[in-house]
Amino acid sequence: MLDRLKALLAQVFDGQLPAEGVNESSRLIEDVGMNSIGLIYMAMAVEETFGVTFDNEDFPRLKTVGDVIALLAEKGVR
Amino acid sequence: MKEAKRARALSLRYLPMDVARLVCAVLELGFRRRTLWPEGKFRLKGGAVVVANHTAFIDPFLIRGLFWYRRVFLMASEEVMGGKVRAFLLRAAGCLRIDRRTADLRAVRAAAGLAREGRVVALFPQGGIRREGDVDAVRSGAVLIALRAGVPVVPVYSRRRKHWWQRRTVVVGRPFDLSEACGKPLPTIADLAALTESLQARLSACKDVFDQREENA
Repeated sequence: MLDRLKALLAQVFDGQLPAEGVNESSRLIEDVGMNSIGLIYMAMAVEETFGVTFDNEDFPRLKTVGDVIALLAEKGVR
Repeated sequence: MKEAKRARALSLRYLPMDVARLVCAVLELGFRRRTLWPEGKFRLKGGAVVVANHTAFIDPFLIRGLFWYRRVFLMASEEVMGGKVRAFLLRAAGCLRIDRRTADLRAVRAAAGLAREGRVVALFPQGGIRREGDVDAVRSGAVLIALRAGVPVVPVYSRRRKHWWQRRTVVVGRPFDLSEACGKPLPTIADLAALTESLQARLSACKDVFDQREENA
């Protein structure tokens, strides 16, 4: 799942991801460079790619890429 | 399709919103609005995102009056929608709550859904009132909504009157299709920023027309 998410992030944040790449501990705001609109945009792209639905209540717990993966797992994505 | 449109037009569900539209239209007469269409006059058809600068609390009335022939859904901040009774009334009148402090996915999704269905959604992308009428710090939300809905953006510029008896001038720019401007199925964050800059430039162009008119007057 990490690879699919990394591919998606690379597509959405084309050329803006940190040079050392993204891993599960990468922080969405500090490392990946997201703001609130970036978070919404990523959520929408993830929804389309993985066929899940996010809600506003999901955002406070999304601090790292690992958190996104954990949430996707909770929503039944394998 | 025509039947669905007709059913929607006659639906009682929108009665409070239509009453609000009527109230806005009547109040808006007091502005004695003068509308400038520098790129040609048009009528809004289908879904659209109307993007305007915000210089006074009465601006939503102006937007509703400008597009009086359409049901315009207005995005309003948490502060404006504050209180249960007010929130209920404003929601019935066609306002959509947006929380500017957080990533409000729900509001963006609702607005994009409405625009995709062929409705008009209006918002003030600077996130608050700028009394001087500056067009800066335009946020990306409007662009995101328009991109998700696949509808054009209509820039509108106006400024508060110096004296109450003066007419209120409004400049309406031509609708522009963002997906055409971007041309990718999944635009990147950089594309989103570039389109937001483009939107800001179009609002600035409307401001230039406004300033020119003021100088000549």
